[in-house]
Amino acid sequence: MAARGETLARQFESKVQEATAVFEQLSDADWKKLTAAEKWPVGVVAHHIATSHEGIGGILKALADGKPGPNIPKEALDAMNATHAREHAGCTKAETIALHKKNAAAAAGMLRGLDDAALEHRGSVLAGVPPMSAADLGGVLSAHIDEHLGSIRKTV
Amino acid sequence: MSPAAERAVPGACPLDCPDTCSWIVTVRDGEAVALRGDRRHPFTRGALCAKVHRYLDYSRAPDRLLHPQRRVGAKGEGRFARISWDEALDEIAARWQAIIRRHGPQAIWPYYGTGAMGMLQGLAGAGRRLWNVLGTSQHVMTICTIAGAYGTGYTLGDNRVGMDPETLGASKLILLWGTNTLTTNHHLWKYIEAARRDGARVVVIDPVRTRTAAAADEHLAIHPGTDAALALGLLHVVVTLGKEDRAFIEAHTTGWEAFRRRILEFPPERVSTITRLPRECIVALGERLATTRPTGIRVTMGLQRHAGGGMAVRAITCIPGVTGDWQYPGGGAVYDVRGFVRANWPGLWRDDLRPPGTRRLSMTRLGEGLLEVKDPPVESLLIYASNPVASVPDQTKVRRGLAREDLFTVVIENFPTDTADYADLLLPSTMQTEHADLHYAYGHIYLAWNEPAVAPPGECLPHTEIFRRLAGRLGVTEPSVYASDEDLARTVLDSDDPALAGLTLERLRRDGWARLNVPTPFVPFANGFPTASGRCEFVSPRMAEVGLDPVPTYTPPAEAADDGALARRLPLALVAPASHYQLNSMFANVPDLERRQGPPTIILHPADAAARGLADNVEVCVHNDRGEFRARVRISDSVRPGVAAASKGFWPKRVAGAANVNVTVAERDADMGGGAVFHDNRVEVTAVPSPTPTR
Repeated sequence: MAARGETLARQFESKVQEATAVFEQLSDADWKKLTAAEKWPVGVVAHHIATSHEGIGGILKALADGKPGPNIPKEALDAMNATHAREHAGCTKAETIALHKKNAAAAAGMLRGLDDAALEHRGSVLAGVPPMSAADLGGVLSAHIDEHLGSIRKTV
Repeated sequence: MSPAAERAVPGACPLDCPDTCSWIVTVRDGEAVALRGDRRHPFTRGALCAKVHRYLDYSRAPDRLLHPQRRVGAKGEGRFARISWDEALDEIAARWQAIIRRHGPQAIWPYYGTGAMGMLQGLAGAGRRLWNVLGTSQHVMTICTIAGAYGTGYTLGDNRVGMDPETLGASKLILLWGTNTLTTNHHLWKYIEAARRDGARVVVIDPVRTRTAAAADEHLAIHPGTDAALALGLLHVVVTLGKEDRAFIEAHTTGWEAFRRRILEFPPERVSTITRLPRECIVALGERLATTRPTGIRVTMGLQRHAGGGMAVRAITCIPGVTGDWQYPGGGAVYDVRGFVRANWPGLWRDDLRPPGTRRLSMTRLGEGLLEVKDPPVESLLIYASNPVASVPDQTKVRRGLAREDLFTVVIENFPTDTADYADLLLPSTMQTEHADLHYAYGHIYLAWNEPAVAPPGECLPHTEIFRRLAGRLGVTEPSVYASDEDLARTVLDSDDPALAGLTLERLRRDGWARLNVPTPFVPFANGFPTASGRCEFVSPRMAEVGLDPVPTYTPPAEAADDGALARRLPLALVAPASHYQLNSMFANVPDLERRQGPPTIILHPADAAARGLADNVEVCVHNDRGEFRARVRISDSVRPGVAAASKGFWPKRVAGAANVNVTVAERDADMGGGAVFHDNRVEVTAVPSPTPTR
């Protein structure tokens, strides 16, 4: 029985739906506005959310599989985010929403497949930050949407 | 006999070597009377290695398998009785159909290796269409390059790309990193010598003073498995001197600030402790690297066969990104170049025919696959171009798996190997002079066509023909599995990639070989990389996504660098590189080469030999918790204290103790791709009390 994974997946899916609704209502003008927090266009922030389901989900799966965790230095995280923003400066709303739904479905499916023991596996995700469990990262999946969706809402 | 009655037939060596030599077979009255290297080939230039120059004798050896056989003795005993092809194929079909009914097709494991490298008969393609149609388990080639390939791919965007080795002649500093070039890549040496004549310095980084290290200007006898630390330490010197190429970094890389911080965590003092190299050697080479353009790095497979092997190759391939060497002819690093051949692989393999979700089984976890994998269990193995009893880790476990009475094992072979001894059915296959094949190389950018020169002996058949006949017996209706060899070759050459334009089968048949249509000199990354970012990725998001540190770092080996309880109990870090007279486990049954190779040896530093009271040439037992093998001691300072070197490739049944070095190797994965960890091993050596006869 993977009750905890199911709970985490449902919480995440709820946030995903909330984000989808916000993305769908963004106008072309909104899409291009610059956010104060990330200093990226709103569309790039949305694409970052959509992409990150895969990245966070991948790390979560690695921890659940018993791997030690990537121990990502802060500068590396900043570099990855900056590279992503540069590469996807021209992303469209339609492609972003499609990616968001696809990656979210994969992450939710993966969460549902994890038993409680796997969710307890811990590893170092970020350098200088205490180790996290796979379940903690399940929470991060939702919190990450919250964080950036708040920024989008403030901007538009 | 007039010369007019002779035919010169172009061909290519099919073996697991970066050089993939082109050769010419002279045929007289249907018999091959000579085989020589093709002098016109720009890379291999007519030179064959000590092993292959007698390939014709090898193909006519008295122990060559010529007829299908069925086992009549116990598994592993090697007693067989001749049967017909019809009987053999009918039996396979009947057994497989029963297995498929009972467990599904994934209970069948087509298991292949590096015994043939071609696109038709070898690991680059043979049988793949049929396995896809049947839905058998997928075989994952974890035995050789895979960890380093992933490390390369995370950095450069393709697992199998790097600098063109032919440009090494323009290098001013050459680092031969974990490679015994004169034994395993010897055609590259002429480029190295050309560079030397033009003032280049050649530095070998290797735990063993190989014949290549002895021929170099400098040898750094690094401790096994610590290469990533050295790469970072060399870059520490570069950065400290302010010699990083900032313009190149700005234009063509990602994540420099994160990588720079990581580099600064590896000062020469720390790296000296890890690598057990003198600090001054690290600083001196770092200074040379900082100030010498272009620097070319040849890195091969040995150094990635440990727990941190993927990260090691990643760290090394990042070096030219810091120094800017990727922009110069003669600059960069090369591990594999097959990625430049963007052939019609989907058309050849037809992976679209494979059922989704088909499981993958690791080649180097064969013992686990046979003894522990369930749902479904492996009920049948079909082994070709591979001798896993000799060549994969944890030999004892592999033997236990192959000895399962309920396992139906088919072995397709040229010779009666230790693996063949476990076959229920033993089928004879053709050798390279007897069949067609198409080749690319992992050490140069030429394609080669191998035209069949002579008729197969006995009842030997090409792999392609065996699989076509097997498909027929199984009632497979998918037409693509019945394609002829020529159709397969035309399909894979049918590519839109400009590098393959004009490289037709007709041209290859006429000339024997052809270089890819790329500029000369070929400097593939002067203007960008095939990553998602188009840049050399010092920070790799793809690595983070699979739980790996996205910044190059040093991942210690699991055993080799241990200095605690394990090292006290098993004091010697054992590496087992390629030998000069065997190629993997091939040629180990050729008497002349066997004589020249001599019996299995273990090289010990004089201090280690003295500490154990061992004299030169004494027979010893090399052992750890996984097993033991016999070897003769060679006392030499070609290894540092605490490091020992054996040779891979011996057939267990032809050596004392009936085991080779792989009996001591762990069935464990490297950090990337599930690669094997042959050189991440600790052992102890003790004298054998009484003389044991050796061959």
